[in-house]
Amino acid sequence: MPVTTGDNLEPLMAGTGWFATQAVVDAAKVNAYAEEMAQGNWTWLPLNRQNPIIVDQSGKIMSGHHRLVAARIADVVVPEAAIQRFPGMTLRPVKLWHDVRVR
Amino acid sequence: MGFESYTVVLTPQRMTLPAADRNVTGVQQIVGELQQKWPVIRLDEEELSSRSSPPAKGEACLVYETAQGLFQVLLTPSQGQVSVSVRFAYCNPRAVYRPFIEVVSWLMERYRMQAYVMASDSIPDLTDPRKVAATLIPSMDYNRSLWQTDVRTTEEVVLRPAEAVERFVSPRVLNASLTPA
Repeated sequence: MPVTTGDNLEPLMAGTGWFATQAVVDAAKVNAYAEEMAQGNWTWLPLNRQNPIIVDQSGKIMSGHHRLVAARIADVVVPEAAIQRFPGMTLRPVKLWHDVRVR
Repeated sequence: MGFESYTVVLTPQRMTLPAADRNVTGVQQIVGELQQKWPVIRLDEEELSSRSSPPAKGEACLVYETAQGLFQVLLTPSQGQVSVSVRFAYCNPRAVYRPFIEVVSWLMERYRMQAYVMASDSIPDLTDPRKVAATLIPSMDYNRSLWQTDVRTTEEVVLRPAEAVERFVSPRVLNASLTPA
Protein backbone atom coordinates (compact mmCIF):
# COMPACT_ATOMS: atom_id res chain seq x y z
CA MET A 1 0.00 0.00 0.00
CA PRO A 2 1.74 3.21 -1.12
CA VAL A 3 2.11 6.08 1.33
CA THR A 4 0.63 9.47 0.64
CA THR A 5 1.27 12.95 1.97
CA GLY A 6 0.31 13.27 5.61
CA ASP A 7 0.27 9.54 6.36
CA ASN A 8 1.16 8.30 9.84
CA LEU A 9 4.07 5.86 9.52
CA GLU A 10 3.65 4.41 13.01
CA PRO A 11 1.45 1.44 12.01
CA LEU A 12 3.75 0.58 9.13
CA MET A 13 6.98 0.77 11.11
CA ALA A 14 5.80 -0.59 14.47
CA GLY A 15 7.77 -3.57 15.67
CA THR A 16 10.68 -3.13 13.27
CA GLY A 17 13.13 -2.08 15.96
CA TRP A 18 14.21 0.81 13.75
CA PHE A 19 13.92 4.34 15.03
CA ALA A 20 13.76 7.42 12.84
CA THR A 21 16.16 10.33 13.13
CA GLN A 22 14.95 12.19 10.06
CA ALA A 23 12.03 14.59 10.12
CA VAL A 24 10.65 14.02 6.67
CA VAL A 25 10.30 11.27 4.09
CA ASP A 26 9.37 11.84 0.49
CA ALA A 27 6.29 9.83 -0.50
CA ALA A 28 7.18 9.72 -4.19
CA LYS A 29 10.65 8.39 -3.46
CA VAL A 30 9.46 5.80 -0.94
CA ASN A 31 6.75 4.53 -3.30
CA ALA A 32 9.14 4.34 -6.23
CA TYR A 33 11.63 2.35 -4.14
CA ALA A 34 8.86 0.05 -2.88
CA GLU A 35 7.74 -0.67 -6.42
CA GLU A 36 11.28 -1.58 -7.48
CA MET A 37 11.68 -3.81 -4.41
CA ALA A 38 8.37 -5.55 -4.98
CA GLN A 39 9.33 -6.25 -8.59
CA GLY A 40 12.71 -7.64 -7.56
CA ASN A 41 14.63 -4.86 -9.30
CA TRP A 42 16.30 -3.55 -6.17
CA THR A 43 20.03 -4.01 -5.60
CA TRP A 44 20.54 -3.82 -1.85
CA LEU A 45 24.27 -3.28 -2.16
CA PRO A 46 25.64 -2.17 -5.53
CA LEU A 47 28.88 -3.72 -6.70
CA ASN A 48 30.87 -0.80 -5.34
CA ARG A 49 29.15 -1.33 -1.96
CA GLN A 50 28.30 2.34 -1.63
CA ASN A 51 25.11 3.61 -0.02
CA PRO A 52 24.62 1.05 2.75
CA ILE A 53 21.80 1.40 5.22
CA ILE A 54 23.40 2.52 8.49
CA VAL A 55 21.83 1.86 11.88
CA ASP A 56 23.42 2.56 15.24
CA GLN A 57 23.64 0.15 18.16
CA SER A 58 20.24 1.18 19.50
CA GLY A 59 18.44 0.84 16.17
CA LYS A 60 18.45 4.52 15.27
CA ILE A 61 18.53 4.92 11.50
CA MET A 62 21.46 7.06 10.44
CA SER A 63 21.04 6.51 6.71
CA GLY A 64 18.33 4.66 4.80
CA HIS A 65 14.95 5.92 6.05
CA HIS A 66 13.39 5.79 2.59
CA ARG A 67 14.67 2.30 1.88
CA LEU A 68 13.53 0.86 5.22
CA VAL A 69 10.05 2.37 4.90
CA ALA A 70 9.86 1.16 1.30
CA ALA A 71 10.82 -2.36 2.35
CA ARG A 72 7.87 -2.42 4.75
CA ILE A 73 5.51 -1.22 2.05
CA ALA A 74 6.84 -3.84 -0.37
CA ASP A 75 6.82 -6.46 2.40
CA VAL A 76 10.34 -7.56 1.66
CA VAL A 77 13.01 -8.49 4.18
CA VAL A 78 16.07 -6.27 4.20
CA PRO A 79 19.12 -8.53 3.96
CA GLU A 80 21.39 -8.18 6.97
CA ALA A 81 24.34 -7.68 4.62
CA ALA A 82 22.74 -4.45 3.41
CA ILE A 83 22.81 -2.94 6.89
CA GLN A 84 25.96 -1.53 8.44
CA ARG A 85 25.89 -1.44 12.23
CA PHE A 86 27.48 1.76 13.41
CA PRO A 87 29.51 1.32 16.58
CA GLY A 88 28.06 3.36 19.43
CA MET A 89 25.07 5.64 19.33
CA THR A 90 24.40 8.63 17.14
CA LEU A 91 23.67 11.92 18.88
CA ARG A 92 20.80 12.53 16.52
CA PRO A 93 17.52 12.65 18.43
CA VAL A 94 14.86 10.03 17.75
CA LYS A 95 11.72 11.13 15.92
CA LEU A 96 8.65 9.07 16.68
CA TRP A 97 7.37 7.49 13.50
CA HIS A 98 4.05 9.26 13.80
CA ASP A 99 5.95 12.57 13.92
CA VAL A 100 7.89 11.85 10.73
CA ARG A 101 6.20 13.88 8.02
CA VAL A 102 5.35 12.15 4.77
CA ARG A 103 5.54 14.75 1.99
CA MET B 1 20.73 10.16 2.12
CA GLY B 2 20.98 10.37 5.83
CA PHE B 3 23.21 11.59 8.60
CA GLU B 4 26.08 12.19 6.17
CA SER B 5 24.37 14.83 4.05
CA TYR B 6 22.22 17.93 4.19
CA THR B 7 19.30 17.85 1.79
CA VAL B 8 16.93 20.58 0.69
CA VAL B 9 13.93 19.54 -1.40
CA LEU B 10 12.27 22.02 -3.73
CA THR B 11 8.80 21.62 -5.17
CA PRO B 12 6.62 24.00 -7.18
CA GLN B 13 4.62 26.45 -5.11
CA ARG B 14 0.88 26.35 -5.32
CA MET B 15 -0.12 29.28 -7.44
CA THR B 16 -2.79 30.89 -9.50
CA LEU B 17 -3.39 29.48 -12.96
CA PRO B 18 -1.57 32.17 -14.97
CA ALA B 19 1.53 31.73 -12.79
CA ALA B 20 1.25 27.96 -13.05
CA ASP B 21 1.21 28.21 -16.83
CA ARG B 22 4.51 30.05 -16.76
CA ASN B 23 5.97 27.43 -14.46
CA VAL B 24 5.48 24.35 -16.60
CA THR B 25 9.11 23.44 -16.84
CA GLY B 26 10.74 20.15 -17.70
CA VAL B 27 13.79 18.51 -16.20
CA GLN B 28 15.87 19.17 -19.30
CA GLN B 29 15.02 22.86 -19.31
CA ILE B 30 16.09 23.22 -15.68
CA VAL B 31 19.29 21.23 -16.37
CA GLY B 32 20.10 23.50 -19.30
CA GLU B 33 19.46 26.69 -17.39
CA LEU B 34 21.46 25.52 -14.37
CA GLN B 35 24.43 24.67 -16.58
CA GLN B 36 24.14 27.99 -18.35
CA LYS B 37 24.15 29.85 -15.04
CA TRP B 38 26.84 27.65 -13.43
CA PRO B 39 29.02 26.14 -16.19
CA VAL B 40 30.84 24.04 -13.58
CA ILE B 41 27.67 21.98 -13.06
CA ARG B 42 27.80 18.70 -14.99
CA LEU B 43 25.94 15.40 -15.21
CA ASP B 44 26.91 13.13 -12.32
CA GLU B 45 27.76 9.81 -13.96
CA GLU B 46 29.45 8.46 -10.82
CA GLU B 47 26.33 8.90 -8.74
CA LEU B 48 24.20 7.06 -11.27
CA SER B 49 26.58 4.09 -11.22
CA SER B 50 26.28 3.71 -7.45
CA ARG B 51 22.47 3.69 -7.28
CA SER B 52 20.48 0.76 -5.92
CA SER B 53 17.77 1.04 -8.53
CA PRO B 54 17.57 2.07 -12.18
CA PRO B 55 17.11 5.84 -12.63
CA ALA B 56 13.49 6.92 -12.82
CA LYS B 57 12.26 7.91 -16.25
CA GLY B 58 13.28 11.49 -16.99
CA GLU B 59 15.40 11.81 -13.86
CA ALA B 60 18.68 13.75 -13.98
CA CYS B 61 21.52 13.96 -11.49
CA LEU B 62 23.95 16.88 -11.62
CA VAL B 63 27.04 17.71 -9.59
CA TYR B 64 28.68 21.01 -8.69
CA GLU B 65 32.31 20.40 -7.84
CA THR B 66 34.99 23.00 -7.15
CA ALA B 67 37.60 23.58 -4.45
CA GLN B 68 34.76 25.12 -2.40
CA GLY B 69 33.06 21.76 -2.18
CA LEU B 70 30.67 19.41 -3.89
CA PHE B 71 26.90 19.22 -3.96
CA GLN B 72 24.44 17.30 -6.06
CA VAL B 73 21.22 18.36 -7.73
CA LEU B 74 18.73 15.57 -8.41
CA LEU B 75 15.78 16.44 -10.63
CA THR B 76 12.80 14.12 -10.75
CA PRO B 77 9.65 14.54 -12.83
CA SER B 78 6.58 13.95 -10.69
CA GLN B 79 2.93 14.35 -11.59
CA GLY B 80 3.63 16.79 -14.40
CA GLN B 81 6.02 18.88 -12.32
CA VAL B 82 9.64 18.67 -11.30
CA SER B 83 10.93 17.98 -7.79
CA VAL B 84 14.52 18.98 -7.06
CA SER B 85 16.76 17.69 -4.25
CA VAL B 86 19.97 19.56 -3.54
CA ARG B 87 22.41 17.95 -1.09
CA PHE B 88 25.98 18.04 0.14
CA ALA B 89 27.97 15.75 2.40
CA TYR B 90 28.93 17.33 5.72
CA CYS B 91 32.59 16.48 5.19
CA ASN B 92 32.79 19.13 2.47
CA PRO B 93 34.41 22.44 3.40
CA ARG B 94 31.99 24.90 4.97
CA ALA B 95 32.66 27.06 1.90
CA VAL B 96 30.21 24.83 0.03
CA TYR B 97 27.35 26.59 1.83
CA ARG B 98 27.62 29.64 -0.40
CA PRO B 99 27.20 28.04 -3.85
CA PHE B 100 24.67 25.58 -2.37
CA ILE B 101 22.52 28.44 -1.07
CA GLU B 102 22.93 30.38 -4.32
CA VAL B 103 21.61 27.44 -6.34
CA VAL B 104 18.71 26.77 -3.94
CA SER B 105 17.74 30.45 -3.92
CA TRP B 106 18.00 30.71 -7.68
CA LEU B 107 15.81 27.65 -8.22
CA MET B 108 13.21 29.05 -5.83
CA GLU B 109 13.15 32.38 -7.60
CA ARG B 110 13.44 31.17 -11.18
CA TYR B 111 10.84 28.40 -10.95
CA ARG B 112 8.69 29.73 -8.10
CA MET B 113 9.57 26.82 -5.86
CA GLN B 114 9.27 26.33 -2.14
CA ALA B 115 11.83 24.40 -0.16
CA TYR B 116 12.01 22.23 2.92
CA VAL B 117 14.86 20.66 4.83
CA MET B 118 14.85 16.88 5.05
CA ALA B 119 16.66 16.74 8.39
CA SER B 120 14.62 19.27 10.33
CA ASP B 121 11.03 19.57 11.45
CA SER B 122 11.67 22.93 13.11
CA ILE B 123 12.29 24.87 9.92
CA PRO B 124 9.09 25.99 8.20
CA ASP B 125 8.79 25.66 4.45
CA LEU B 126 10.85 28.33 2.73
CA THR B 127 9.06 30.45 0.17
CA ASP B 128 11.23 33.58 0.18
CA PRO B 129 14.60 33.13 -1.57
CA ARG B 130 16.00 36.11 0.35
CA LYS B 131 15.62 34.23 3.65
CA VAL B 132 17.32 31.01 2.58
CA ALA B 133 20.80 31.82 3.87
CA ALA B 134 19.70 33.12 7.26
CA THR B 135 17.43 30.13 7.78
CA LEU B 136 19.64 27.35 6.51
CA ILE B 137 23.11 28.25 7.79
CA PRO B 138 22.41 27.62 11.50
CA SER B 139 20.70 24.34 10.57
CA MET B 140 23.60 23.31 8.37
CA ASP B 141 26.08 24.10 11.12
CA TYR B 142 24.09 22.13 13.70
CA ASN B 143 23.72 19.05 11.53
CA ARG B 144 27.34 19.26 10.41
CA SER B 145 28.45 19.27 14.04
CA LEU B 146 26.36 16.14 14.69
CA TRP B 147 28.09 14.40 11.78
CA GLN B 148 31.51 15.45 13.05
CA THR B 149 30.70 14.12 16.52
CA ASP B 150 29.31 10.85 15.19
CA VAL B 151 32.31 10.10 12.99
CA ARG B 152 34.78 11.77 15.36
CA THR B 153 36.50 13.92 12.80
CA THR B 154 36.49 17.48 11.58
CA GLU B 155 38.41 16.53 8.44
CA GLU B 156 37.15 18.35 5.37
CA VAL B 157 37.15 16.57 2.02
CA VAL B 158 35.30 17.27 -1.21
CA LEU B 159 33.15 14.14 -1.58
CA ARG B 160 29.71 12.89 -2.57
CA PRO B 161 27.51 11.61 0.27
CA ALA B 162 28.09 7.97 -0.68
CA GLU B 163 31.83 8.59 -0.86
CA ALA B 164 31.74 10.23 2.57
CA VAL B 165 30.12 7.13 4.04
CA GLU B 166 32.67 4.92 2.33
CA ARG B 167 35.56 6.98 3.68
CA PHE B 168 34.44 7.88 7.19
CA VAL B 169 31.84 5.33 8.21
CA SER B 170 32.53 2.00 6.56
CA PRO B 171 36.07 1.61 8.01
CA ARG B 172 34.72 2.19 11.52
CA VAL B 173 32.01 -0.39 11.06
CA LEU B 174 34.52 -2.93 9.77
CA ASN B 175 36.94 -2.16 12.60
CA ALA B 176 34.18 -2.53 15.15
CA SER B 177 33.29 -5.98 13.89
CA LEU B 178 36.91 -7.05 14.17
CA THR B 179 37.29 -5.79 17.72
CA PRO B 180 36.99 -8.62 20.27
CA ALA B 181 34.13 -8.21 22.73
